[in-house]
Amino acid sequence: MLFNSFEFFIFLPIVFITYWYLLRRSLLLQNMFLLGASYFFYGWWDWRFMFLLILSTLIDYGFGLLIYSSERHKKFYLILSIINNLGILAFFKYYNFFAENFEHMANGLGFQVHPFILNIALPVGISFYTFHGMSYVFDIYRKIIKPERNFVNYAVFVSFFPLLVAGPIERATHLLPQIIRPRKFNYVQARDGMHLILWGLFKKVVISDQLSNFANPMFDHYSSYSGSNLVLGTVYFAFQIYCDFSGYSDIAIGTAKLFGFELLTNFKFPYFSRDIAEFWRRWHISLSSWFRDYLYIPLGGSQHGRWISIRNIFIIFLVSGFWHGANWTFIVWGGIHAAMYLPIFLGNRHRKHTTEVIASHSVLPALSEIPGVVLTFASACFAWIFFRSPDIQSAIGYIQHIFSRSLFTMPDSNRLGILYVVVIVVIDWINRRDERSTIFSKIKNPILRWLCYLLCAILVMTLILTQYEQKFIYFQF
Amino acid sequence: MSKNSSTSSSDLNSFLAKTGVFVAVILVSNMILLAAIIYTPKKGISKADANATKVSVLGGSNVGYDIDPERLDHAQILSTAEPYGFFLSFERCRHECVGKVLLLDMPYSWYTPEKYAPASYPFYSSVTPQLYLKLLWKKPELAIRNFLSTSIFNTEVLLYWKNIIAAHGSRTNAATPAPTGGANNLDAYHTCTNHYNPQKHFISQMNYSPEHIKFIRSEVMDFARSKQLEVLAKYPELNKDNYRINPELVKTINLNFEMINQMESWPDSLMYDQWYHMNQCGKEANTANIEKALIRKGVLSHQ
Repeated sequence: MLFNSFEFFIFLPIVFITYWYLLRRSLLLQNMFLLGASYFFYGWWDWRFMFLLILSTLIDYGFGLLIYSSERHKKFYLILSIINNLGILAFFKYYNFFAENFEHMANGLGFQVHPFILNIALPVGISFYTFHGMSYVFDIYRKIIKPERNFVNYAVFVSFFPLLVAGPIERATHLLPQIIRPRKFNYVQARDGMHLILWGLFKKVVISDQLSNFANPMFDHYSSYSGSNLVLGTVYFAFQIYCDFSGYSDIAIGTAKLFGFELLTNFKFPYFSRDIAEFWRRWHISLSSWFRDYLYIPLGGSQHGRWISIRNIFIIFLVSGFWHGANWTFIVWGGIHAAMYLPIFLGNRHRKHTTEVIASHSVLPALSEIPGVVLTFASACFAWIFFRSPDIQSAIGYIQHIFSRSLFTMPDSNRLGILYVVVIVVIDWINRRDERSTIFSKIKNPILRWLCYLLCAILVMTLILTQYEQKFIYFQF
Repeated sequence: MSKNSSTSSSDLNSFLAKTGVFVAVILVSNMILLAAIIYTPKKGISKADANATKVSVLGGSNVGYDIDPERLDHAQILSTAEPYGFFLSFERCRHECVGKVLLLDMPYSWYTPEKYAPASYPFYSSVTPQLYLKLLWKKPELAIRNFLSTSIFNTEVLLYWKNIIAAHGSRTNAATPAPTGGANNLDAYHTCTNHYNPQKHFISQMNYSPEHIKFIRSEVMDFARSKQLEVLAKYPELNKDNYRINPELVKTINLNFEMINQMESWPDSLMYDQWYHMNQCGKEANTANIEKALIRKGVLSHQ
């Protein structure tokens, strides 16, 4: 079920009312109901893959208990758990990639091989729920948490429907205590949740989906467009993917708030970053911190000399790229980010902007900050070309067409998309100092605020019902 | 504890009440707008036109762009933009269709369940209360979708805006402009220049179900019986890839109607940006073919 679908607007109120009105006196019943609702939400897409989710949940639950109870064999169980999680991921997500590359390589060496290719859909959210499970097992191994003995509680942690298919990637240390603790309805939390849902839908349906109408044809038929148009196409895609994914995260966080949960923040205005290190502290935060805590630091982080640090940086960026999909384009995308991060790291400037957002005490940024923002955004856009293109050849073709004489002409089509970009940049700029603020909380006049709700809701509803549902980009990962 | 619990309960009630009011305001505004659209006066067909017409050609934008009415005497072209879907297009036909022969040239998307009564341009120009009730009876989920999508953003005001976007938008991805959508859109097709740029979108990728195809056939036959019409059909003008990929599927979804033409692979030089649409040269060639076919069937006579 998609957040931007008609079905979800029926599903959500039913679950909300049952949860708070009928089941509020029993935590166990509330959690069991949330689990059932989450499986229903997931099964709506394809009920058969629900069993994979249940199996994965059962296995990690079991390994969690085993690791905790056996000091002697805990490393062995941890390895088995990792093999299981990565095995599921490798089979469903990466098997065809490896098989096809093996075939190309063998053919290149003069051997004729035809490996078996799986004709199976990628289970939605597999990269997210396996990472939930892995973080839980790692945290038990490192004695950060104790295993959760109640299976329902653990299963809700893995399968909680707002974050099931595209995150944020939660940590057991953060979400499990909320699942175990009795919850009370909180008006302010629920209101903020509704704000986030509406704002997330606006970003997804009004901004991202409309920008996709401009960006898609340019990436699909780049040879028909001028260089300046293609630059515009890259900017459109940058904002399309940002509004798509941060919109999804807002809806997920907002929906969780309706049920009394607080999820991790996933985006903090990444396009206002002053360098690429700051960008990665603001973009898909739950994933980048996951890789930092469970891959970069265990590999030694930056504590074992310069060369080990460089190796580790490349590993986490390449793995992060590969996590996004079984395609060389994602690996190159990760590699570009690693290459851009490295000079900042080597110059020891990667912790320069760790806390405060740009222009945190003024209306406009300082002149000295602007080149950094522009350069970071341009670098991110360059990397997005690889991320968006179907293959490396197309990405190179796209870049070659950008750097042609037509780069210095006025873009002759799709200029209207600029309007959508300006809208989101202005609103984000107004909100930049608050972690999860929406435009609604900035409007103090209640009549004006309610008018704003209505306008957004009607616009979102009209577009949802009149257009084909556009899947969230991160559903494929 | 009990005080906290009652506070939480009253908060919940207050939250639900406000959300309920919010939803109610949206629903009421939709009802007002729907009523305004329903009761807007509509134009009818003139008697002289009705008497002279022998065949009504019903289809989507492909009919509007692939047939030249000036070159096809005694034919009435009933072209509706694709978002009208099957239901509204046939209802339009019920009121406007004249002559004794109905020639179907429907876009293949109309044979898919989601295009039966799509919520885009939902009731703009053709809905009546009876029609709405009819849809509610036949496909309640689609009627509800149509009602909810009725907003100021989905009426003529936005249609105007959408046309501006389409005109400025990409050549390959702009929404199919409605035949009534303005001179600029029509002008774009009045050229023999080949702009055709194939897209990865084929008939075989659409969501067909055998039950829905049967349902569409029964709808057409009921309609033809009620109006005492003879039904003929034609294969739409498509670029070669669409027919090549799955001719069996194309035959199936043509519902065993009597066809007046063959599946024809039109060269790219006669096509415009979308797979259904031809440029002016294609339009002329296609109209001549249709005229010959209708003469062969005895529907039209030699001049």
